Amino acid sequence: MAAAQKKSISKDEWERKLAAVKINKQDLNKLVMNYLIIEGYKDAAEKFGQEANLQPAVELASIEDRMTIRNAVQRGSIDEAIERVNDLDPEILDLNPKLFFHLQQQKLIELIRSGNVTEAIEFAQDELAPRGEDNPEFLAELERTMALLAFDPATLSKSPVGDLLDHVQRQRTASELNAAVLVSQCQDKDPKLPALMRMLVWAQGQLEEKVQFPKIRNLATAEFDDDPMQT
Amino acid sequence: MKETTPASMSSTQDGTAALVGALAVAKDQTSRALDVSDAAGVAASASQLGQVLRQVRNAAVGSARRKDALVKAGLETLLTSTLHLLPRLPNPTSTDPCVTALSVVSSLAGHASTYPFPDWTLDESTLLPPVFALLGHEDTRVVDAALRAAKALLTCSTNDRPTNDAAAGPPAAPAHIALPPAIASVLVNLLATPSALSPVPTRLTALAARLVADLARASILDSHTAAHAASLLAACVKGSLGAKVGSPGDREAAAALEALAALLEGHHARDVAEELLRGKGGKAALGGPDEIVDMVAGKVREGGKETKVWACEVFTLLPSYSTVSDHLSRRVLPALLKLTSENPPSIPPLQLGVGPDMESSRRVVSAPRGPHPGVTLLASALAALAAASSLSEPSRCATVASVPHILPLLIYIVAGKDKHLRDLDPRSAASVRVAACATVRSLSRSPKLLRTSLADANVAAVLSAVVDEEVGGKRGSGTGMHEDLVREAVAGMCNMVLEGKEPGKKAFLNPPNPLPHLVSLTRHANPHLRLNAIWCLKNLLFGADAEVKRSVVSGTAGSPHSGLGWDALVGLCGGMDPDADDNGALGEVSMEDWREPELAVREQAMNAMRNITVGREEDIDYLFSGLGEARLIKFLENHLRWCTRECTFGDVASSKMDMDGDEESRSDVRDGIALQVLYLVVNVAIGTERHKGALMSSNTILEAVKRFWSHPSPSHRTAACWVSINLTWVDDAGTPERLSVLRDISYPQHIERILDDADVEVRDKAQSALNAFGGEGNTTGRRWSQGGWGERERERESQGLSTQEGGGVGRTQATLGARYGSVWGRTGSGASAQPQPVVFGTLGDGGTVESGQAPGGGSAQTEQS
Repeated sequence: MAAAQKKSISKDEWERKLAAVKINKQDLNKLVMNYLIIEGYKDAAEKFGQEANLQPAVELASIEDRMTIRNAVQRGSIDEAIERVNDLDPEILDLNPKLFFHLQQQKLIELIRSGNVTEAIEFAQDELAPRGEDNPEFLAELERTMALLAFDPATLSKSPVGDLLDHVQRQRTASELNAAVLVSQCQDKDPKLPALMRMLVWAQGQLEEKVQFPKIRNLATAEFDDDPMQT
Repeated sequence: MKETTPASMSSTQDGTAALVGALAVAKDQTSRALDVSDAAGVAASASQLGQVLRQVRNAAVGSARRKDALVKAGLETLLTSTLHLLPRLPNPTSTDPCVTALSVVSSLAGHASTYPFPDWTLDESTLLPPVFALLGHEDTRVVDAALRAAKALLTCSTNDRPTNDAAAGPPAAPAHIALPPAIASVLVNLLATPSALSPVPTRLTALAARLVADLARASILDSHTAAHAASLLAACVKGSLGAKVGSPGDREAAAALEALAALLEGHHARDVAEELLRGKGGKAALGGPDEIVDMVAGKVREGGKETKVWACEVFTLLPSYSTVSDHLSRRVLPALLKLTSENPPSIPPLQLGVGPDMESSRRVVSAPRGPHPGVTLLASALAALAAASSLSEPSRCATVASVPHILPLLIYIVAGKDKHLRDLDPRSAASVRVAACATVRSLSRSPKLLRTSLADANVAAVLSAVVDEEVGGKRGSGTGMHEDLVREAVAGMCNMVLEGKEPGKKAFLNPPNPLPHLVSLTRHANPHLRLNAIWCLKNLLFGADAEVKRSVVSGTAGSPHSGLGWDALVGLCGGMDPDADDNGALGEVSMEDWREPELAVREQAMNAMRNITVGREEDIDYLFSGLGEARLIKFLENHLRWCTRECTFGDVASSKMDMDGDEESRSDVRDGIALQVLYLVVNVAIGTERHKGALMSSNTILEAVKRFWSHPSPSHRTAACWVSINLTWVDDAGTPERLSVLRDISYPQHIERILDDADVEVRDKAQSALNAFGGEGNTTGRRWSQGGWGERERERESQGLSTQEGGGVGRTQATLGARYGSVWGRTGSGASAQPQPVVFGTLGDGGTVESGQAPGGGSAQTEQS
């Protein structure tokens, strides 16, 4: 059996090897800080910076701007979000037609949600329809959004397009905007930590093809599998 | 909280007109309040103005249609007057409206592709002057917005105008426009490294650097500003050494390197290089060439993708300045090789670029059709590698030796078969291929590599296939071919056919035989292609046997393709009578004259003619029968007359192109051509009594040759001696008669004058020539007899490819692509790995390997340094 011929590494030996790897505490702190900043935990970043004696690489005020914008979208105040993004850097929306469309789509959804049907139709005609003409790829999404008007407001959330009204939709729009703001501030749009986790899983998979060793299966607890020597 | 902006977001055409109207009212109110010094009124109206401006901005952002509507309603003029007004407002009221107004400008100008902005000028009625004026504002937010707005205005007027054909390049600013000194100094100060005195944030420095890059590309910086900016930018880059990828320092370095590249390419490139490498009064900004090289090499190694791209770019531009030593290639080469091998094209583009490098990603966002950053980096690295490899023989060998797979990689890219390359947009795929081709071309300058690695890898066949595919093949009659790629491929071939001995040259004509394509390229509208094609044919003719020569000129029997043809060759030489063509106006040839490339083509064509006559008497006969004796003599007479017109040699200083299309430093355009014509005469004079007789029958030719004994160039004086020597050879039956004719036109007296010539070769040949007149013919010097042809062959063999070290580093600048400004657009590039113009001519720069042969021989050179 091929598996039997695979080299095995015991848990003790594995832990010994791991212990031999020197990891700089400061690097770990930076990873955490990177996560806090990108996810927008301004207060936590501030506190953590004090405790770990770490200067955040960006101005914390920029996190605040970003979070205000994000919260505005999550609250459904799209106009406010647009206004604030433009205050920050008008290029963000100028250069991302898709993002701008999604924001306006969200605004349309909010108008429909609040029952402003007339205003919603006007807005769709004035703003979204011309945009769809310029970018045909937006049309399908626009049509789907307009389908919201076809359903009875009472049962709207149960309709086939009801997912648009879901909080997840706001969340999606907010994340897209957050990423664009991060890019405009020349910051990473994704924290490094999840990428490292993915790399860990991938590396374990690669190693597993050649060697038996104690693996971390539960990433939340980071505990090792049973010792392969004993199984 | 909701609806912070009033109904203005509803935006019909009427809405935009109303907005512009409201802005006009608010502006007038503010203006009036200011005039009567009504403080409360100013505050109220300024706040109203700020609010309206925000509404305008929100309306404009993201909607091209609305921008059009706003401009139609007269927003541009209104903005201009508002921007003049705002700085008059008392602080802190003025800051916000200023920032908003500037961002409206950026937003409008940023969409120049949908909105045709008028040609920018520094006219007071346009937007640029008030925007520039705000660069000096004390609030950094205003400066930030003003930098962006100025950049957007410049970009839209120079780069992205829809009417602007990319191939035609960006329009330069009208000559009368120059940045006012006050603004230039404010801008340049923004580049100063942050210090206690000028705490300029890194972000502003980066923005200012990019604006400087744009101004340099639009050629509106004066030389002092350009040089000053360059030294500050270099200091920025130096200060950023060690900055982490993606950090503000790295982004600043990328911007600074971009600006340096733009300055090194701009109108004041020489001043900039001078400043960087030597500095004013001998004190360089960075302590000399070595330091700047280390700096660039450091950035090629450690920077983010964009930084690396621009560092490569700066590097490709630096070698053209001879102060940069071999140090340059030694330090940068390893980093470049690493970069190239780390970015092979077969990595799926998705993996190439998606990384933590946000600045690059952002550029992709803002240039939706641009190529992938990884691809751009590969193209830049290859272009820099081409430049580095062109510097010296050791660097070429190092390139091939250090990375075992570099040649296969280059060939793989040049061949263009890679799936991922083909999936890219054509422009970026071509840019990578052009750069790889340029590297191959650089490497092909090495005779050693030509005989070993390049021969083993069969590079010549790959280049032939590229030319075949682009010029003929599936693309049909050459429409839609990538001219830069063909240009580089043909240039590479130039060196390869030169190396090929007899069997090599015949092999070159095997399928895919590029000869018909080269012939068709000599008629191409692009002068660079014409030049490279005739250059390549000339090298093919050099040392070729009669069969190859006939294939080139008359075509191969049984082949559908005709050769170059005698008439076409004469045409390329400038026609039967160059005077008729020039109208005697050569003295007035200006730098911009279209004839410049024509002159370079003419020199090469004449050289081809000369190479045809090298070999046996049959070769001279071939010329005689092809052209006809009477026509040939007329041709020689006319061209010699043209070359010696006015007789004051060297006064027609003009310039000609080398193969990159760069202008050679001032050399007499006629001298190079004259030398070729002269050696054509020398070659004919070696021939039979009939050939000699034809020359002797023309008094014009004999008189013209005489004039070259007073030519400032020793090569020309030597060549003239050879004419006399060959005509008066002792063994020839007609020599006594010829001696008497030449005595009558005072040849001996003319030759005597150069017996004490400063040049030893001239003295030697003059003595030989003169001896003939003393005795019964020439017995010294080169001996040959009926059976002596073999000797001559051996003589040529023995001279072989002797290396002459030329003055300094070759002219190896990589010419950058068509489009200004963006790395995305770089197309052409490459070091000139070229057969340089004639060895005997005045060589501006670059050493040459002279494939020398006895006078009377052909000439073909490959450049080397």
